[in-house]
Amino acid sequence: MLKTVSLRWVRRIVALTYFIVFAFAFIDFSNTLSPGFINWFLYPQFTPSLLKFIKVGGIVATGFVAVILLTLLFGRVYCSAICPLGIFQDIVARIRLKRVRYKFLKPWNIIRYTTLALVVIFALAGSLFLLNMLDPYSFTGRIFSDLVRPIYYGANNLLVRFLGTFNSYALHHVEYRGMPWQGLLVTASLTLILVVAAWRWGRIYCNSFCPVGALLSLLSRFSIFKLAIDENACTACGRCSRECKASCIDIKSRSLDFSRCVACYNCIDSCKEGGIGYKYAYAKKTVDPIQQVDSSRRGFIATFTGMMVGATLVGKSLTALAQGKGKGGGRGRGRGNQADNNDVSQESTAGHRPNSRLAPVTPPGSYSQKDFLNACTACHLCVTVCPTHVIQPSIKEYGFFGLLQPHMDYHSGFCNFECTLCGDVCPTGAIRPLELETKKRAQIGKVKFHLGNCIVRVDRTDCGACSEHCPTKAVYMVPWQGLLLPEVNEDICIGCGACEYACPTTPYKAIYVNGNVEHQVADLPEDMDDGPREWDADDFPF
Amino acid sequence: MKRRDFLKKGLGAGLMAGAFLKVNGAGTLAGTNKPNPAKPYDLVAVMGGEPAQMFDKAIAAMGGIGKFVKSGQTVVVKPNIGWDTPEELGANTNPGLVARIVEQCLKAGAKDVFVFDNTCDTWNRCYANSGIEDAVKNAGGKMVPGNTENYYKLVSIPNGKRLKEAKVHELILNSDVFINVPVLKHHSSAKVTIALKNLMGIVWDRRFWHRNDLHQCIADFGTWRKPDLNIVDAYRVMTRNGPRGVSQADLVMKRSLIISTDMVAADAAASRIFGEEPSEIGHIKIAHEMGVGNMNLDELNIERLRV
Repeated sequence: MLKTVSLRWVRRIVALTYFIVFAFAFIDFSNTLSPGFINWFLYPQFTPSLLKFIKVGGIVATGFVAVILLTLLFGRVYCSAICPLGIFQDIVARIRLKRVRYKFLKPWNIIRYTTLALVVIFALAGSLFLLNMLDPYSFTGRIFSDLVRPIYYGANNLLVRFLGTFNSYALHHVEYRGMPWQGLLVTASLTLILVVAAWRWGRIYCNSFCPVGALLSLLSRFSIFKLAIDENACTACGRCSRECKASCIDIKSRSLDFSRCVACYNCIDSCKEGGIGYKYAYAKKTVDPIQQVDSSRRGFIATFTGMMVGATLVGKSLTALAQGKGKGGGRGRGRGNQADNNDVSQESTAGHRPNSRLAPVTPPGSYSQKDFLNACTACHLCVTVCPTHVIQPSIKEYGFFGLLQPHMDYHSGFCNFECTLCGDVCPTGAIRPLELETKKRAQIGKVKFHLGNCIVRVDRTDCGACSEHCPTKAVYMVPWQGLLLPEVNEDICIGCGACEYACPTTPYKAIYVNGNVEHQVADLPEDMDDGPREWDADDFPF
Repeated sequence: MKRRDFLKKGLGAGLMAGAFLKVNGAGTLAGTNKPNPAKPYDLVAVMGGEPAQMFDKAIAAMGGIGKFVKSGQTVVVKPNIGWDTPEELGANTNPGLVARIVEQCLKAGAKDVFVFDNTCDTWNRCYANSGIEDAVKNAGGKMVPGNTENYYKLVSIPNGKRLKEAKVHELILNSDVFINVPVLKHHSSAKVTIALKNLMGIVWDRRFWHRNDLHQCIADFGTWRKPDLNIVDAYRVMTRNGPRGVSQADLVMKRSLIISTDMVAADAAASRIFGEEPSEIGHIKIAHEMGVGNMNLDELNIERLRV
């Protein structure tokens, strides 16, 4: 038995430090943490790392291998020291005034492995929906990005108001905008359920619904070192069992179900006899409670393999289904009636005609809608870091199974030409980092001009807000009846949405961006390389 | 329109306008337009130098900064910081010019010099990338955010035709001196953007202007409050693809600067430098007709300087 330092305290310090930085990364509006730091900070997050490895590869995406190795060595260390949702649940349980007295529960193996199997089936079928709802990393990201961030903004704004009374402009107001209420509701509901469960039953989520927990529990059955109860020292006082938030210590049989143990080490410290500690699991001839679990191990593996085969079969048919359904792309914001563009009446009807966005727009660096949806876990880190608030969780843009995966919401903001932050921070490879010059040509959508909604045409007054904001002048103004009317050149449009955002017509815009299901490379505007010209005048022209 | 034709027409219009409006401080109507050093200048134009250098010369000719900024006063400087682009692209006011204005104000004894803009691109990126944030801080001024509605207070515009009220940044309302520092640029919707148009950056809801006759709204807002000084940066002039610009190919190095207490006069002179006739620019013409200022340069006492 090794017990020199308190492993519980090591775990607590590591977990709390990690958690604080994690939380800050998901609520910060000042881009304080550099993308490079965030990449390495999120390195050990299992799900994003695995997806990024499949998608992009590279050393920065090997975090999940490290977690697997760690699990094969010492069990589910990830679940208590690194998993943000695990730490979050521990904090929730901890802030109870009256400490919980846990008791042993039988494992809900059918539930946890079925959940895992379903997550895999969905993923194979091309939808990360279930994974996204249940993945602990992404779930925690949403708790902070969706729910805590507005509170943080509010606190900041109160402080700004307070400083304002001293005429200080040291801090500034921030606006929490664009978040759809439905998205907020989904995140809030799931969080509420989780909080209640953690409050009452400790880590029940981790051993029943968490796909990462289920996968690591399978691996932890093979761990080289396992926590075990020394039967010679055990007095069956039951203290360890009451402290076990995973409810995995059965004091009657003096056994510890290591597959459910989240490696919090509370039991080690609770045992007055020093009867619990790590033990080499493959020592010869050990009469060890682990054996009891081992006997059922084979059964689990058989069941699981069966499930995986089934999953693959179902997955294939689902894939076929999904592909058939996915052809139309995402749904737009309403049915279009662009056909009657020519019917322009004299009274002000600017902005009264709905547009037909054929496909939603995915962030630059996502390459295609399919690539994006197959890798994004909806952690909302990009939503937090985006300086223009253009990246927002989707509700129905990608259909129900794309719920909360972000899209470019041009009513909330537009993609800043000089910015690559979303791709720089994305931990799953759904948005890949682009060099600034590449990003400036990444065509994520194409501009569509809806003449029947345009102020200039309908009200016959100058406007031009669209062209004003366009960074490539894909939207430019041409003379029309003594006024200037917009015209568009799709070839040099990058789909940033500046025109759509700036367009002042309501409720519908006169100009909008239709998403490129496959991103393209925009042409460069003409004579970009010329320098400034010299002025040939030698006197004031007045 | 040829320039001579314009001058004839302009003179006619000017005579009428002068007769109707009795434009304040209008110089001779004779059209000779020789500077009269005995009287204060309506407008000073400088060419051939660096922005800060030209400002020093221009403000000296205007009677020195002390004429506009008194000791202990608070000053708000409003450059164009609309775009997240570097100095070299000429979409924002020259940072060296803004810094020199801040320095001069502080030297004149200003208590505080604030600088802000309601930007088009993300505000803090514009502040940083334009070079203005660093320049202002080094000069001793303070950058102030204008990114959320909280900073803007409702004012009424009694003389406005379409624009009757607007939310204006609290700094404009609270500061003693207001210095308007536009950069001369091509503008896709307003043709040019100079002093009058730059004031769109002190209000919150610009979409309303775009929806309700942009040129009229710009002129309407000009009737609300005259800046104490207008300094037009015409150093790097974006002659097409404005107001954001695409590349340096959009620029002409005009190395000029205009300074005036009259926004309309400053806009008229700057339009000429740009290559447009002021009477062809909707909002300048309307502002002139509404009595915001005088676009007839022939009627003004203008000092022309070279560096």
